[in-house]
Parts: sequence; C-alpha cells; structure tokens
Amino acid sequence: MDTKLPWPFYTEPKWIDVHGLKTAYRREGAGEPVLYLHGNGMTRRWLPFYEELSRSVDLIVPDHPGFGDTEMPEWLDNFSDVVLHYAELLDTLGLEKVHVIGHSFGGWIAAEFASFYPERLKSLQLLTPAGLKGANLHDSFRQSGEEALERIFNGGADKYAEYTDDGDPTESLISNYKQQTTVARLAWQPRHNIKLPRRLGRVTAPTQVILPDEDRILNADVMRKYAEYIPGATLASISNPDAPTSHVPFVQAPKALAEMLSGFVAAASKD
Amino acid sequence: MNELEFYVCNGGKYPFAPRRDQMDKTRFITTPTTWYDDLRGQRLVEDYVENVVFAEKLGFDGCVILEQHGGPTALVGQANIMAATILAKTQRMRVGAVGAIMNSYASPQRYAEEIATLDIVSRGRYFFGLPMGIGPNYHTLGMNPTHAREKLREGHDFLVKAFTSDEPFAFDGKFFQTEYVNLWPKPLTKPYPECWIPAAGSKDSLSFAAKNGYTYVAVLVPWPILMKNCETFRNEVAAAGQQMDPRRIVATAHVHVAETDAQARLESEAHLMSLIQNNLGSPFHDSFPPGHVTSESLRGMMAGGYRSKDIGQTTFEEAQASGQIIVGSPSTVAERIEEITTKLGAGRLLVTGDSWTMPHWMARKNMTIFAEEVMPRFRSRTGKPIWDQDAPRAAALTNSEYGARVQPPKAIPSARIANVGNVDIRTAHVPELRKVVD
Repeated sequence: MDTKLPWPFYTEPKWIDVHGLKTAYRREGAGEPVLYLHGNGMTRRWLPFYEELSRSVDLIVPDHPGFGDTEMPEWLDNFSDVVLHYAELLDTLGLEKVHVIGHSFGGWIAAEFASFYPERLKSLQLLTPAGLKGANLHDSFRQSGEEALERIFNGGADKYAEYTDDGDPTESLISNYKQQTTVARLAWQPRHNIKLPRRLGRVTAPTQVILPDEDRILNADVMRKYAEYIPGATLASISNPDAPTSHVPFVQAPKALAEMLSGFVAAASKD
Repeated sequence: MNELEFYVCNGGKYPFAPRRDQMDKTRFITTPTTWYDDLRGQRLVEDYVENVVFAEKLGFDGCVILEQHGGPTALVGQANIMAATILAKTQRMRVGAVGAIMNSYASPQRYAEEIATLDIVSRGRYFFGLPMGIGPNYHTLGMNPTHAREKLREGHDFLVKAFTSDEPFAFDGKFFQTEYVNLWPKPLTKPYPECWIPAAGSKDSLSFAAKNGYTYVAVLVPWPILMKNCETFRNEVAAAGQQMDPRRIVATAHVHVAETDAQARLESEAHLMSLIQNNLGSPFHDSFPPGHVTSESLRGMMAGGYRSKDIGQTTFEEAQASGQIIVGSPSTVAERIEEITTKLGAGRLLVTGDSWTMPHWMARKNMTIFAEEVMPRFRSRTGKPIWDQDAPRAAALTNSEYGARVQPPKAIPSARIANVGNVDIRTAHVPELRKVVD
C-alpha cells in the first residue's frame, strides 16, 4: 500500500458542478452506467469492491451532499433535495437512464430517487437498505465508535483495519461528525419515511434487495419489506462462508457481491 | 470588594438513581422512572420551591431556574412553570427562567405569551433566557440538532417582533410561519424583560447577546475559556456602541460555605462529586448530537481545550481550580468570589445553594451562612438586595442586611461540656472550633 495515502484506498476525487454544488465523485470502468449511492461511512476512497464492480460497468460513485468531500449545502433539508440533486447530477453527466445501487443510507436515497423518477432507472439494487419504519436495531446517533464498529463488522472489525483506518484522528472525527450531521439533517426525526411504502409502488425497473448473512445495524425482516413494496422485486442474499457477511458485505465479499450486482445489471440491460 | 448582585440557582436533582458508571451512557436521556419514587419526588420538588422562596428572606437579589428534560436532572426543569410557582410565593425578589428552550415550541408565540404574562403577574420581577439547550435535550425533545442555532435565531426575531409590534403581522420564516402574530398581553417591561444568554462561547453567540443588549451567563466551559469569552463579550458590547455594565456578565459557581474550610468540604464534597460524575458527565454522542457544535469547536476540543476529556472525570481539586466550585469558610469563599468576578469582570454571581442534591436543611444552612456572612461584603448598601431600597429602619428585612448591620454579641453563648470545658455553643459541632472559652 502507498504509505503516502491519507488513509487506505484513498483516491483523488473528480469534481462536477451540480446546479452550483461542487460535488466530488469517482468514476471508473466502461459499459452500462451504474450510479452507486454510498452509505454513512467509508467515503473519500475507491474501495476494492468498487474496483471489482468497475471491471464490468461504468461505475459512478459520488459523495452525497454533506458527505466525504462534498460540502453540505445550506439548502439541504430533506430527501427531496437529495433526490433532485441526483436528477441534476445525471443531467449534468448527460445520463438519461442509469442502473442504481444504494447501500444502507444510500439505499434509502436510492429508494426515494426511484419513487420520484421511476423512468430514469434501468435497474435498482438495494443493499442492506435503510428508510423503512422499524429498521433500526439501535440508535445510530447514540453509539460510541467502538459500538458502531462492533455492529458494522459483527465484532470482526480488527480483521479489516484497512477499512476502519480514517487517517488523522481529529480530521476523522470532524469528517464523521459532518456526515452524521447530514444524516441527522435528513433523518433525525422521523428516522424513516412513512410515505415510502406507498410510493415504492411507482417503481417499474427490475429490482433486487440484497441482505447479508447477519445484519446488526438494520432489521432484516424490515429490509425484506422493500421487496414487497416494489412490484416484481426479488430478494437475494450475499453469503460468505469463510467470513460471514455483515452490514457492509462489500468488505467481506467484495468479489462475489460485485459479480452479483453486475450480473443483475447485465440481465436488466438485455430487456 | 466588587459590588455584586446575587442570584440563587438550586439544582433539585433526583439522586435516588444508580451512579452513572452503573448505568448505560448518561442519566439524562434514558433513566427509566422505575427509579422514581412518588413521595421522594414530591418532597424534592417542594423542598426546592421552599428553599428558592427562602432566598428572598435571606436577601438574594433574585433566583434563576434552569430548564432540563428527560431524566432525574429534570424534576424542576420546567423553568417557566417553576418561575410562576416561585413568583406566586415571593413578593420582591427577581425570578428568572433561563429558560425555556424555544426550539422545543411549535411557535415562539407561545413563549412570547408566557414571558409577557409572567412579566405582568410578577410586576416586572421576571426575566427570561434563550438557551439553545444542551445536547441531551435534543435527544429527548424531538428537536433537530442540525438546525439548533439557526432556528433559535429565527425564533428570537419572531419574539422581538411580537413584543415590539403594535400591529398584527405575518411571520414567514424558514422554521416558523404564522399568518397573524398578535401578542396579547404586551409585556409590562418595555420593550420586554431582561434576557439572559447562557452560551458556551462561540463568538457568534456572544456577539448576538451583546448586540441585543442581553446578559451573558458565563457557564458551561472552564475558567480560562470563560475569561476569554468575557473579554470577547465586552469587545462586542463596545463594538455595538454600548456602555458596558458589569451586571451583563453573570459568573456562575457551585458554592458551599460553612464554619471552616474543612467543614465546608466535608459537607459538600460528596454532593459536588455526584453533581460532576452523575449529572454532568455524558458520552460524546449524548452531549454533542450531530450538528449541535461546529467543526471549529470540535477541532478545539480535540486540541485539548474544552471537553477534551469527559467532564465526569473532573476531580474536586480541578473543579476548585477552575472556579466551577467554591467551597470554604466565609472568608475563603468571599476571597475566591472577589477573584473570579474581578477576572471575569462580572457584576452578578449565580450560586448553587444545594450542590444539586443536598437535603433541604443542609442547603438552608449553606444559603443562610452565605447570605449573612458572604453577601454583605459585596454590598455597599448595608447588605440590602437591589429590591430593598427602603429608607433606614430599625428592623433588618433580610439575613443579608442582618449580617451587615449586626454587632458582635455582648456575650459569647457558651456551655460546659464534660471533660472539655466551656465552649462556644454556636460552633461546638465543628471539631476544630470546639475550643474552650472563658
């Protein structure tokens, strides 16, 4: 590993002006355009999982407004602001339709986006998605760093030091606080969208909901409801016998997950 | 000695819950009421009210009630309701509620009505506050911490306009919208009662307090930062083209005074340590919910400033050194108050009379000695509080006036104790003062 990196997997972001908001993003690969919406954490880097996925698709990974290198704009108040930001980002990139993958908090954003702009999705994949009532197993705003790591990695965080290394402790605290602030801006209360179940009926793209072996952040029974609310959606699980997958399955099973996601993208692109 | 006004601010905290180290995270947010006892709760609330009312007889200039919610720290935490209760039981002392957390109101109109009404029923004795609310309040009151400052400022604009406008108006803000704001009744005090701002010390908050002519309550942060904050506040007052009045800076301390330094520590130490360990300490995520503090403040904390360690770990000596607690004989306490108010440039002192958890009688003992033997030293008007401007008279109206005017006794009250001799009966309960007199 390059020791000069501020933290493992860091890469310099690209920048795009989205309706006045300087937005950081990373983009690699060729083929079907895939918009990947990250969860709350592990921003500002190009994960090995992204590298795997970008071998078969044109992978676009932006930092959400208020996450990573993208500043929180003063106009950001609720999910509709984020949804419009992503519509404008696609407009700016000249992409009419894309495949969307969303992980955790990014899964919630993806679900909102799909319910507002069903016609702009070629496919939708929700990976351990947040957003539904009753999904939170804990209060994410009241957990220590150690508690969070235990829950994210199912007690195995020490095995994944590359993923938990955030560089300078002060700057890491500030960056994480900023991201938590964005989550709180959008989802302090309520911590779900009560309208989402009905609105998800508008989604027309092929959809799959992917759950890990064991999720200690979000309730699997609640996450499964996404597949009930979205017409024709299917459920899939990403398993890894050697190291059972957790809320961040791309850490334990980057290759298998990338294959599963790109397989779904490929199948949806044939239609 | 500095000329000071004295305000009492008791805690009235419910102590019959496990220590913080025996509980999950903090006492503030999720302590279940299985620990609550109806009779003990009633007693505590009544004792609290009685002792704050008693402050008038003692000659305090006023009292302050702080707002708290959602835990054993919150038994007397409904500031305006407690203010109304205490106003009804007192005649002349000032009563401040510092104060309701305006961000928790659906409309500032409600707060404006409460302020105006309390101003009238108190005949101008009431004053209010605009605290942002500490972190745990945002966990328990459904307020979004990421909008805390912005919303408080907007609510303030609403309040001021409601107080000062003689025509109904539409308020159309980001957080508050009301088509017809029409405040009835109007405050008796013009343009509206005094406002106290407890602020951790961002320049923004201090500048806001200064520009609006408000009073800064120097609280929440340790001593070196407070001195800097007071300096910033004075500069902001000057920048606003105002004449600085030292009463616009309120120094705060948990004060316990007794016959000797050792006796004062013996009486108060466990209560003060419980205050620090059980009632102040909270983990980071409870004290600082997302967006409650700025990145700049966080960077300062991480650099070893404010809250670089859990304040629940503070020792008695550290709390003394920081001025957070003042414990000792009347002379020791008076000297420390003189030092602190001089360094801060404060014209008012807000003292805790009960170290938050003391029994009724012990709090009274502290408050009485404080009123008789400490307060008069800072009052040129023969110990009289600001609300007693009456002409000289034979009777002492308050304990503070008594303390200022009373002459040495004509005889030392004494009694003979077997194997000791004749002792001064006023102090013989303190071992080091159990000395033989004639």
